[in-house]
Amino acid sequence: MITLRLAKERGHADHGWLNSYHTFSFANYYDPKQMGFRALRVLNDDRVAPGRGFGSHGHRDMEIISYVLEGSLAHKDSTGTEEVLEANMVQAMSAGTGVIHSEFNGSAKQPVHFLQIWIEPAEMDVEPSYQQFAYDPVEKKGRLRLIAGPDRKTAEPAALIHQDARMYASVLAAGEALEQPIAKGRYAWVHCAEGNITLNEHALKEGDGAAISDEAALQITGAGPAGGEFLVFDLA
Amino acid sequence: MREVKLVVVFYSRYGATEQFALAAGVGAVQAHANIRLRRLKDLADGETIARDPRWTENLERMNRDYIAPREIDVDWADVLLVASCPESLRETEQYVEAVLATPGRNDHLLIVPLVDPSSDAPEDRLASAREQARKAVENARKLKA
Repeated sequence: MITLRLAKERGHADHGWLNSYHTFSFANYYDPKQMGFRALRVLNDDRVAPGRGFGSHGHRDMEIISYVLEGSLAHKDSTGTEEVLEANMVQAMSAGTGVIHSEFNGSAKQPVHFLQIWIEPAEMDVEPSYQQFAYDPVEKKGRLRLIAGPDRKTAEPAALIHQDARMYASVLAAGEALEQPIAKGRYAWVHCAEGNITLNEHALKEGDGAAISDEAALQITGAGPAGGEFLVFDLA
Repeated sequence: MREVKLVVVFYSRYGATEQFALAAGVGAVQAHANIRLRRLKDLADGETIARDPRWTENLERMNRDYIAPREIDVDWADVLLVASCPESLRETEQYVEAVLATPGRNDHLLIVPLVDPSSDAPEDRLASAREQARKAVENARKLKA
């Protein structure tokens, strides 16, 4: 079964400096029917004005992944980490017993467009940690590139998260296709980050998502004039 | 577990009290509190600040990272943790006096001054901030029970 979560149905907050769309309930947007999907709790599509951002705030027991689509994001946290994140880089923070962090647009001129993903951990009270890595964008063209997962050893660098969940990123040109099997009893979420894709014959455009259960495989094709960039979550 | 809402209100010039306040914030998060961090504005005039490059530099950064406490923060909070700056106590003193004098303020609000053992080693100092915050959250939780 595939249940679409259309971009236009998402929660929306426009604070001027921040234009944010919430796939699931977040902050002042609350819909009891949209509290996440399996362990995927938050998927925010944020655009932050140059030089602006989120001041210091706290998190506990959450796996927080930031995926930059355009621009740069400066991060600072109470574990002593201070980093700048750009497109084709991934940041993952395990809040565990508690962290305080801030995130600002790293540029004084360009806006930053990024996705922030929260995954509920299977294990509480872990030591807070921060991971960041860069990858070659070619690695996500025409295939699913693992971004985060629970495995300590992976074929390519990926963030370690404390949950039986995997996040992949992919870019498909128009007409290019891939198939991803879904193990029995597993679930998936697909989020179209940019452009257009077709998911098992459902058309998805930027900001659209889909919850997948009781399906054997995902058939995803790049659509529209230029294909699309998307995330796939494999969830228990 | 009852939710405890805590605001860390601090005044810092050069970042040392900010670090202490951040550590208190971490302690409160560790104790499962919902937190906000707020920096009090300088009472000194712009010329005085401009004569001190280190103050100016830190102020620019902190102005980006924190907003000043608002009335709605006090209305929201169960606990105010207050961290004072050794270079000037006026900012926090005036703020606490103003909160206490606010008509109709939340009677159950706990106002807890953080004691900065500034002579301790940096790690011990931050550990003390975390511990003080954890205790404040536990006390607030007991009062709400």
